[in-house]
Amino acid sequence: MTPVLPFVCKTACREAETMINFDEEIAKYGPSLEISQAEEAVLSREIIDVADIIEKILQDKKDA
Amino acid sequence: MICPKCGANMTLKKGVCAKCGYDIEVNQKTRKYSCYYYNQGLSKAQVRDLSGAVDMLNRALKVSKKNVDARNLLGLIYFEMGEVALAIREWIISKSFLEENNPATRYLQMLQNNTTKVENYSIAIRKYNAAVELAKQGGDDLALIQLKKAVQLNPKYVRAWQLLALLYMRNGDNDRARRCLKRTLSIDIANTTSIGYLKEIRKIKRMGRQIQISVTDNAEVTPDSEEMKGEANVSVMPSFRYAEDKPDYRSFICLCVGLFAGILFVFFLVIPSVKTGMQEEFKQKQISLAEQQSSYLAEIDALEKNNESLQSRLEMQELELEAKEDELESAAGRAGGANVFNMVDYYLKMRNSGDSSRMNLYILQTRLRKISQQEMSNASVKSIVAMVEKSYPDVYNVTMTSAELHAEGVTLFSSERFGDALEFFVCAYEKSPDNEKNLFYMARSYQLTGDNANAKKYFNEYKERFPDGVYYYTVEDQLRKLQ
Repeated sequence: MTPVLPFVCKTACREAETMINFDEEIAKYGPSLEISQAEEAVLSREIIDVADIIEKILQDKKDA
Repeated sequence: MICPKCGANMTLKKGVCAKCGYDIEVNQKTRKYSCYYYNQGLSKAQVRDLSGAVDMLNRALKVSKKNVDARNLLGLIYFEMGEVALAIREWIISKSFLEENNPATRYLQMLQNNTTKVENYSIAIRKYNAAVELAKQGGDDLALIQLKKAVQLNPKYVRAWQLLALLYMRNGDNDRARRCLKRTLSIDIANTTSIGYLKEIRKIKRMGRQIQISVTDNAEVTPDSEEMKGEANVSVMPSFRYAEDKPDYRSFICLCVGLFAGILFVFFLVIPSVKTGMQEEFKQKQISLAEQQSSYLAEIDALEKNNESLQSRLEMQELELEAKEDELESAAGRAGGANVFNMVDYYLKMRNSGDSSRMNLYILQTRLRKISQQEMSNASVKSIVAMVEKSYPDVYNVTMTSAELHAEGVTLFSSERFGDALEFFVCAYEKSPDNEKNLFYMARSYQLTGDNANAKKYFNEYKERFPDGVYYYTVEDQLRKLQ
């Protein structure tokens, strides 16, 4: 005869299924930008904003 | 109005720049939305919802990259969260868009002036990056060490605190993990990652307590049931209670066993070898001493033999001497009379005793002077006297007073050397015949040496000459004894 588990234990079991996966969490961590790389990051990064995108769209439309 | 793109003058009516064709309406709208997001970000930053503020400010910058205020604020928030490189990047970009009157210039200048802190931040970032790699490879212990150093160098490094908390949780140290996460929430109050981790910790604790309670309360469910065991093993983490380290009795027992083994080793191996060594040394010493002893004994034997031979030689020489003395005495007796015999007798006595004191020389001198001229005419007597004078050349130079002679005689008399004392008393009497003491002691010495005739003679002389003398009654007694 199988024992009847109390309600509390069932809840605990359900919660156990949603527990954190440490390996996945650690994989989310990436390296931070180092101070010596900051200047290089500025130069290599192409900064585009919404205004540039809209302007490009308008320009393409105009050209078309 | 100036065109934001080319900088030419443009009228509001047209809404489009005549020079470059830039649509100002788009610019205005993007600026409006960018400002809206900037305001949102600012209000979140003011209540320390830094991660929320970062999100809003990034949106503001996506809409309008030239929003310098949003970029500067984003840099500040990144700096507050420990992402120093990101902060520097934003400020540099901000400075590129606006050179003059830009707070970013001041922020960068402050960093340049404080190189030590910047160096510390740089090291913290490097350690964090190393810890991330180690954690991914499974080296939790080393990663923990690196992260601890990183947060020590930069106490506001939120990502480092979060990774540290995650590693603590993986190793079951939920208390430390909670402390780390609370630290991040003090910097960034609505950090979703930290809040999520804290929820996990609370969940774990709750589950652990629930299993304990259910196991003790429900009579039908026992810990031995397979289902319970399975469930517990698969998904439930037990709650940890603080327990002190129990003393390790095993190490103490091992120590005692080792000590005992050491004692046995010393007792059975070291001590016997030392003993053997000492015994060997003792034997060697014994042998050397025995050899020394035998050499000493041999030496003693040799010395004893030498002594014996010397003794026998001495006896022979003494016999020869006696014979010669007898020969001399008989020669003296034959050659001279009693005076010569007496002189020779005293001379031999002096020579045998080796005592050539003033006293003895004086006696010898007296006896030499008693030898008459007639006796001296004999050649043998002459040679004997010459021999004596040669032996004692100062014999005639010695002078003594009566008192000195008497005193020497008394000393010898007290030592019961009556014969020798008599010599001195006779000389003292000859020197001063009126001294009653000399007379008495001379008579008494004659008596004690057995010469009763002379004793009687001199006692009677004392009675006649000294009727009031001190020894009168003593003399009378002695005379009565002699009769």
